[in-house]
Order: sequence, then structure tokens, then C-alpha cells
Amino acid sequence: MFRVPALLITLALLVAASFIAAPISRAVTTEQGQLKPDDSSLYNLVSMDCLDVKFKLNEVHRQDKLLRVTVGQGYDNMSSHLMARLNARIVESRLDGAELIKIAAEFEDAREKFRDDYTKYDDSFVVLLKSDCQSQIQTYYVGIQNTKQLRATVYEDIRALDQIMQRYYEAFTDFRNTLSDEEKKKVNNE
Amino acid sequence: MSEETSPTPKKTWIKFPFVALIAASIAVALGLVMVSMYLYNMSGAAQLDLSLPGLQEERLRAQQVKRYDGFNATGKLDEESLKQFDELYKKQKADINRDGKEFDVTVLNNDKLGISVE
Repeated sequence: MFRVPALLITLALLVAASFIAAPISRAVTTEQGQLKPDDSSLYNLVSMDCLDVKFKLNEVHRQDKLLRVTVGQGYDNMSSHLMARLNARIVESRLDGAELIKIAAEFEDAREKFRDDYTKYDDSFVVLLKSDCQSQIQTYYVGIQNTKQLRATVYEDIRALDQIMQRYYEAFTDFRNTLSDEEKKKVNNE
Repeated sequence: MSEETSPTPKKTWIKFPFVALIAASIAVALGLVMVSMYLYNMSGAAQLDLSLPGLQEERLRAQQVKRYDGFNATGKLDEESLKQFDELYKKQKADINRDGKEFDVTVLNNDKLGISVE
């Protein structure tokens, strides 16, 4: 008696599952045309070849993907294969490396910020690539400007990380000098 | 006088356990897919994923990156090892700077994208 309704429910679940899983499996934000200009009157005379602009944006996005991977690997190597290992050896040798450890912790925080800001930038870029340019040129232009702002934030993060790496190197040089001075003193005492 | 009671009707899922099992499996699988996709997007893994279609060239270029051994985590900390660290650090920093500079905002300038604003 209940066989037919039960089968129907199962079928309905299957269909619903495929409808829900398909869009999320694209792994990207699918929001479309949601850009909102703060004041579109500022850009009354924006003109662009939408196809050409989208093509160029797509190229930039592809380049960014590779850059994100290589820069990310670079930071990861710097953190886990260099800073962390030197710090571990300093601790193991019972030497004073407090400054180096502190800067390494700052580097981790800055990496976290870089990751978050890049995610925001990438999400914005994906929305831009999926938005309708032809019918809403001004809105699209505002979207490009917003994405550019987010890219500027990512670039600032990269510069901040660079400064931290420089500080770590300076602290390392101080540590090295101190160590060699102490070794010289030991030799002289002996 | 005995009182006859009609048997209570069994619930649908008890009558058709196989169908219920399939339905439950689908529901669980769907939930797990949604959780994993949420984590995939929120963790930043989506930005590092070059396996997506259309990124074959980038994928091949990324695969050319050699394995990085870095500084040895154990051993005596003497002048020799510090010199080695110095060299490794400077090289790694230079590589990062080279790639990091590519993230400047000029690629999204109006003239680069062919946009004119009056």
C-alpha cells in the first residue's frame, strides 16, 4: 500500500539531491549580478568592450591562481622549513631566541590575514566574472573598482609579510653576531 | 468477553526498510557534501585548487616547483649552519618577492583593461 509513495519520496530525494549538489560542487560563488554601485552617476560615461574586458579579467584571474599557489608555497617554506626550524634549534641549544620566535609568530598572523584577504578578493573576482556586463556597464565598472581595492589590500598584506621577513632576517643577523661574540669570548677564556 | 484490538499500522519506513535505507543514505551523503564544500570554500583551499577545468597550463607550471627541504631541524648551531641558513633564507625571500610583486593593482587599471571613463 505504501510502496508507491515510498518510492516516490525516494525519487524526489534523489532529484532534490542532484539539484542541491550540482551548484555547490562548482566550488565557487554563483552569485550573479549582485554588484551595487555607491553612486553610479559618478561614472556616467564609462565605455568598454565587455567581451574584451571579461577576457582580460579571466586571464588575470588565471595568472592570480598560479601566483597564489607559488607565493603561498613560498610563505609556507619560509615559515615551516626555515623560521620554525631555526627557532627549534635555538630552543634545543638553550640559546636566547625570544625576538626571533616573536617575529615568527607575527609572520603567522600576517599569513592568516593574507589568506583571508585573498579569499575575499577571489570571491569578488569570481562574482565579477559571472556578472552581466553588457546591460549594466556602470555597475560592472564599480565592481571592477571594488575588486581592485581588494587586490590592493592583498598587495599590502604581501608588503607587510615582506617587512616581517626583513625584520626576522635582521634579528637573525643580531643573533648570529651575538653568538659569534660569545664563542670568541669562550675561546679567549680557554 | 475478550476485547479485540486491531493491530496498530506499521510505519512506512518499517515496512520498506530498503527504501528507507536508500533515502537516509542520500540525506547523509548530501549533508556531508555540503559540509565538505563549505570547508573547501571557507578554508581557502578553493583558491589553491588548480585542478579545475581550464587551469591545465597553470597546473603544469605549478607542478614544476621542486620539493623544498629547507633548513635542518636538528644539529649543532654553529657558524657553518648559520651561514647555510643565511643563504637559504635570502634565496627564499628573493623568490617570494619576485612572485609577490606580480600582485600589484596596475593589472586592473582602466588602460590595461581597455576601459575609458569620462
